[in-house]
Amino acid sequence: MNSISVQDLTKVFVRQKKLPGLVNSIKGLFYRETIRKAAVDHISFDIEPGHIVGFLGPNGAGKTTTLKMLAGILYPTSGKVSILGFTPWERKEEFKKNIGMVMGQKQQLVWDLPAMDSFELFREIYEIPTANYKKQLDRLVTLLDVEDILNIQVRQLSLGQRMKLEIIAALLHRPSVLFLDEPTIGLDIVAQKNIRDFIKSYNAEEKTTILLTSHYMQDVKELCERIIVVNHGQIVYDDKLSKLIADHLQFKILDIVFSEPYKGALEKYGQIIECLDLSAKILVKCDEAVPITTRILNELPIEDINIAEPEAEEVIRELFKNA
Amino acid sequence: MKQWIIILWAYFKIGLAKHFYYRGTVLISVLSKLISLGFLIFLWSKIFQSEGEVGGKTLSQIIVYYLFAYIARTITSPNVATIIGERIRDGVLQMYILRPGHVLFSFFSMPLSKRLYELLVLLSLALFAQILIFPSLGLSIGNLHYPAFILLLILGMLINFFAASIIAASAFWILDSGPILYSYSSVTGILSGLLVPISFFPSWARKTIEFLPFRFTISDPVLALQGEIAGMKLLTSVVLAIFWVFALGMINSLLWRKGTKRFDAVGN
Amino acid sequence: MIHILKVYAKAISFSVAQATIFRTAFFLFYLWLFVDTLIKVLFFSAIYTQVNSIGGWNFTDVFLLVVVNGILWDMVWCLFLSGFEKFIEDFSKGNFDFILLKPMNPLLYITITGFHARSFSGARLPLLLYAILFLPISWPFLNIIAAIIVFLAGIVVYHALFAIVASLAFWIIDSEPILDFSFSITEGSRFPVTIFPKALQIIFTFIIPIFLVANYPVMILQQMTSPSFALTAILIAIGSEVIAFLVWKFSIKHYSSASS
Repeated sequence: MNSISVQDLTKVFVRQKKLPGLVNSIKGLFYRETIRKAAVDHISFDIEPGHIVGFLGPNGAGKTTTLKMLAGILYPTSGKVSILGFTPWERKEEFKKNIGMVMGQKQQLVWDLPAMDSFELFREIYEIPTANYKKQLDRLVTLLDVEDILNIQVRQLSLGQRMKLEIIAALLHRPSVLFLDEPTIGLDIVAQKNIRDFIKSYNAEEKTTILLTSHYMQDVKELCERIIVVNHGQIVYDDKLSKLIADHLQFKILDIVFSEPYKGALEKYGQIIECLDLSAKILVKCDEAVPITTRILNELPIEDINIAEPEAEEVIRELFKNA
Repeated sequence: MKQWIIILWAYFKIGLAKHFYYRGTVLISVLSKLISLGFLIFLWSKIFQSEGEVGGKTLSQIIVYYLFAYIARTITSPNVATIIGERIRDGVLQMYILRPGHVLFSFFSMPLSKRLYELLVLLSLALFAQILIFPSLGLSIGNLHYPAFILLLILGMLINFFAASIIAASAFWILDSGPILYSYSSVTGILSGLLVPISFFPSWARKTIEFLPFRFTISDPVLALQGEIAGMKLLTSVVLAIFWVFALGMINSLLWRKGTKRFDAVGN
Repeated sequence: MIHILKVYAKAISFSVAQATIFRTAFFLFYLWLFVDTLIKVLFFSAIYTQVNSIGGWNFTDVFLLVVVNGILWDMVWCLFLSGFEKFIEDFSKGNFDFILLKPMNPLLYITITGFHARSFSGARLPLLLYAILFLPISWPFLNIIAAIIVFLAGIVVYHALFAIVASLAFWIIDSEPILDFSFSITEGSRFPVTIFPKALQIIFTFIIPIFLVANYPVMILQQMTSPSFALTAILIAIGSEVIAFLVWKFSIKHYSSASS
């Protein structure tokens, strides 16, 4: 049985157009043009228990909106969702006790109190038996190495420290499903790595189903076997990350450095990814890489040229462009 | 000096634009004052049902006093106390510290446009009331002493600003002084003559209140406007007001120097 | 039910612990509230220097009114108003979603976790004591009970009123000014109810029942009205809470359908 099952999920936002100026303000009292935008457009996917799935997409692609519907915060316009057998937006208590959510840059810990106090409060709210609570707390604190900041006012801690504590807050009640909405955003590299390592080990031990959205490829590369890429509210790719890269291994990237500023057309060689005065990046088919490189060496003022595998970032960027 | 004028003008312009778009805030402010005024009018109308004259004034004279008092309040309002207190609490104060010019000057300049805006609305309403609703109020606009009024109002505004800033500075030491800041407005209201003319107080209280700076924020300006303080008395009033401006200004400076040292701009 | 009480107890214990940390602050706060009550009494004494009665209320009546109002506001800030203020602030930062995730009714959650011990300092109690000891007072036992019931019903009503005002955050972007505005309406309860025309008296007793909490208890104690009013007060309190919960249910539905 799937942990998460999504069928034809759609969310349409209705906004009213507000034009500036006095005349339009008066007009606006009587009639306002409404804009309907499908933030999430008939998406479907299933996730099996214990898997970590990455949700990728540019800003406004519908990632956070989808996550909010799965968490029961937003009502969909249409579609079906079943998480652990529950319909999220019915907000049954049993459901809420089985999910946890972390939202990057937002926090639920009480600002003026030490995190420990907030944890104690959540223990009561989620009705966690004391023994379980102690065990889970100790384990999380050790894994995230936050022993010495538990009793300091949250307002005095850095963002990285606070995010670790937010993760603990979301996991105290041992939910079966965890939603992570950009958990590493704004964090330094070390903090990001710490959190990634934690998520990996926790998932391995607990088999919690995790749905993660992120901007950072590093998060996705390290944690997610499977990724779902969305753009303009629709799924453009849903499969293993490795397969995505392999599929695109039919392409290679030529990294060119010119010996003098070159402003001529490069389109005849391949698809231009980047083009500056002294350098350029071109996408070419695998089997054409060598012949095209030879042509470029002969025809253009070249300082250096390198044939590289496409980075996951570039592959995905291509996906967005094509969708 | 020039820099201060530039900063003031910048905040003034932004304030005007902001309050034009968020007309609601000014509207709500004006409505709040009208409601408070309304309560006072009910109060005195009830009292005058069984009295002919109270404290030497008729009902119309008391209502006129309140009208002027609320107009004065619009200019000298101590509402910066809550705003400054909040900025200290949420750490946003650090942004204001970074701006050119003294941090408090920003807080002083920000509400100016709103006050002017509010004043215009209130004055129009007062005129409307005078012409259409209460022609018997006897608001003879020609007999009023405007220069004295404006001078004392400006001094009163400075006094209230420094006093409010002193109270708000308590937030450097007491993290959530919310209830204090909220009731500060009503307490100073009473002590400044907004809710009841100072001459009504029993003599022991009157002497104490006259000793405090708050009378210069409403009572003295309004009495000067009506010509009840003139000549030598007016001069004394102005001198005392100036004294308070300096005294409170210095206490305020001291508190803020100590407070900002203590202030740990919270990592956000 | 027990579960909710347990959560409440936890929230209270934290708040109390926090309150007792800063002792100088606590003392200053206490002093300020005390002075605040005195000055409000002074306001009335100024009027009573000139007249003997305001709409049938004498000086003892209004003294009690000021003190009871003071105790009311302390309790309102302590029990939930700080919580509603925090909710409005948090809401604009997008933190409300976390509350929706909790296995508890959101309004209940905000009320319970909004307990703010420091707001209740008991600074007005010495003045109540002064009134009982030194002012001409004789309160029949039944009236005392009725007054306390009406006072508590009044607190419930204020909870409902501020809950409804706070719920405007779901509809209007900047709802803080409206909260401030609601304070100016509740200022009306500082005056003897008799100064208002009959129509307003009815509105402020039954529709926006701000008179319930201070005016009526004092009127019952001073025997200006019958203690049987306590029954009406209870009905008004229950009615207003039901309306508040319904308003929140409706507003949250709107939030969940529209928010982006």
